[in-house]
Amino acid sequence: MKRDFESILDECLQQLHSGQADVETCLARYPEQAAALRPLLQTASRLRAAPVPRPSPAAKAAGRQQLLLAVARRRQAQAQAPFASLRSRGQELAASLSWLLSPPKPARALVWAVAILLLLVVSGAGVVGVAARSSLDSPLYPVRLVSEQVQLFLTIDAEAKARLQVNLAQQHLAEIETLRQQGRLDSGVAGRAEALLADQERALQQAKAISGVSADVQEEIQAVLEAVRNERQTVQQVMLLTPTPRPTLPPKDKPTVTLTPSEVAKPLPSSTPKPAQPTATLPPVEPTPTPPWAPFGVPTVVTRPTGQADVTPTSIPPATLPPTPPPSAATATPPFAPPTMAPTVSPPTPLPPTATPLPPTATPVPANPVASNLRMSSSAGGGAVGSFPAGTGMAYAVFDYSNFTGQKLGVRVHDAQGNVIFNSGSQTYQGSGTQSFAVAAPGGAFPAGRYLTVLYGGEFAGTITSTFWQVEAGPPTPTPTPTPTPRAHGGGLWIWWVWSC
Amino acid sequence: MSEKASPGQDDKFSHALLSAGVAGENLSDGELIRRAQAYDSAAFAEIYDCHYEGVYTYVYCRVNNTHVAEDLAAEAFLRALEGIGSFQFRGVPIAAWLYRIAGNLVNDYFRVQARQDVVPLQDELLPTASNPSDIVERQFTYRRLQESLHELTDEQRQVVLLRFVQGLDIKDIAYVMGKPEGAIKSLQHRALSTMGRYLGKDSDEAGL
Repeated sequence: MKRDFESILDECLQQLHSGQADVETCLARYPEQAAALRPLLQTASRLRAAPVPRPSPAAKAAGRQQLLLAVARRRQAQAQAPFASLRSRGQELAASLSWLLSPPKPARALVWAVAILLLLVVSGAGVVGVAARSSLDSPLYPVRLVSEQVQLFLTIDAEAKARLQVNLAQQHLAEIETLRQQGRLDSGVAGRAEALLADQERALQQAKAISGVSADVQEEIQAVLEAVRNERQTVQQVMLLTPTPRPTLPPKDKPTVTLTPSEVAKPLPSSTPKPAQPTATLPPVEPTPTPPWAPFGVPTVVTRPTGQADVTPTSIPPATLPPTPPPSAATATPPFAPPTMAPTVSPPTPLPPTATPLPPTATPVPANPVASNLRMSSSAGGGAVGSFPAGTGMAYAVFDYSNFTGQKLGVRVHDAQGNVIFNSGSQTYQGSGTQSFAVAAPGGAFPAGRYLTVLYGGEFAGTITSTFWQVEAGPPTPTPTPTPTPRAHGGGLWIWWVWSC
Repeated sequence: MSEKASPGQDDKFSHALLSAGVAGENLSDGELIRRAQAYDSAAFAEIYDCHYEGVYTYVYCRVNNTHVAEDLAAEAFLRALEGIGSFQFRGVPIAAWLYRIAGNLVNDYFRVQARQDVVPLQDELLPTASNPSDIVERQFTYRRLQESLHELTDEQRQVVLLRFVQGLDIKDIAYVMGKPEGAIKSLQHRALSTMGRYLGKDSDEAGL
């Protein structure tokens, strides 16, 4: 009987849940159990109608970012399984040699001598020499990493070891930058590059901790460490912007390393000096919007294409930009128009060429896409403004993009409560240029406080970079204060958390 | 909650609930699982977007701590990524699989904590409403339900959360908790009885 009652109860609950019946209908169907069923069904109804706690958008976004990066790493680790296996074997080899550093004993000294002799023989055979010139997308690259490990192992002096580590990191850095500029950082290579940069970051941190290293070298390590971190974040951006490859695993019988004459003869990519290119960072936090999107007004699109740049706005009518008052014109009256938001487009202004001419190749490949220099400005395409005067009614979200081949980007602006006050929606980008979106204040003027602008993109709209800005309290000040674009960094999660609390 | 949510509530959340254990969802779940097993980022993004809030709510209602719930919910998806390769889709919704992972994480957390950490209700999590009287009413309802949940055993609480907050059916709850369906029905019955008594007593005292 008891089991029967529980089945009846569950049946009634199903009907309540699906909307097929209400409490009274269920009770009418089972008059004998009605007295017992009534309080239970009423409790269930109250439970269903009760509100539930919801996560913060920042936490949700951070978890999403973490998951998607983990997926990208996992996918690339799978694609480079032979590579990883060789590299780990190299690291095991280096680790197994470490016992030779213990106090010299005749037997160990002999083994050490034989090992060095063998290494010289192998070097003499030229394999290591060829591998030393291999690039990240070459099958010989693991051999190069092994030889670097051995080289570091054989360097006893702390100062020399630290310098060597710095030199190796600089070489890897330059090569990855070159690959990126040449558009050779596809999904698989980007994963290797990211893993390699992570290794270099760890190695540099260890080198920094070594006692007996001079202050000069310490400074050098710090500088390279920063560069490695920045490049790693840029590569992570490439990982997010690069479309997910469909699984095309190589056949299992495929040799892991194949040395063909063409690969041996493959020249090292020319190390052309890299143009100064601001790198975008990947903050761990992406405050996701609360759908449905509620942008205030229609975005004003301002595009400054260079060459083949071709921004494809979605659902944005052709428009012209209203004359933007110069910052000095700001007075007690809000300098910007209220958000009537008639979409306007400013005349295109060509950007100076940023790409270094590449050596001619048989099939020209576009460089990897980079979106950078996200900033808020008082004018379309203008410089960064970190703090806007009270009463500001409109600001511009501006970013630069280069080497895009149809990837999507979008901009969101959040207020201090995490609400989305502007969302441009995803748009497809081609080539290089600068994009500006006019962000109108809801109600005519931005309330004083902090705001967050997020540049998102890729096939699953991950955060590419973000920047904080603020609107001052009190009477309007005549000119906004230009500040460097705040760079998102690893502490962004905490900043967001403290700020949102 | 669920489809009876107030109009102001998040569409995405409703979607998360509707996607949990609803008939017809399994076919798309199977396809999603296949794509996820190839480490397709878009598939994982879809899984996360659909189920994060449900997983978070489930975890939060058990641990009663925002930060722990956020950590465990995020960890649940990373565990799902680790286990996706060996996951065999047999008609169990993704939501049920995720709740099972999250439930194991919560159990591990409790084992480490050695006791259930009941903290005061966090007001910032209370739902908002445009009408002040609505806010008061919702807060009151929420508090009473929270209190009545604490009258339950952990297993009963899990059944209530999975059944009435996440919208899973008995079969899927049995999968999540690793128990027979009959046991879940019994837990459901006892949980509703206990909560009904608590809430009824409350109504009597308040003259409602």
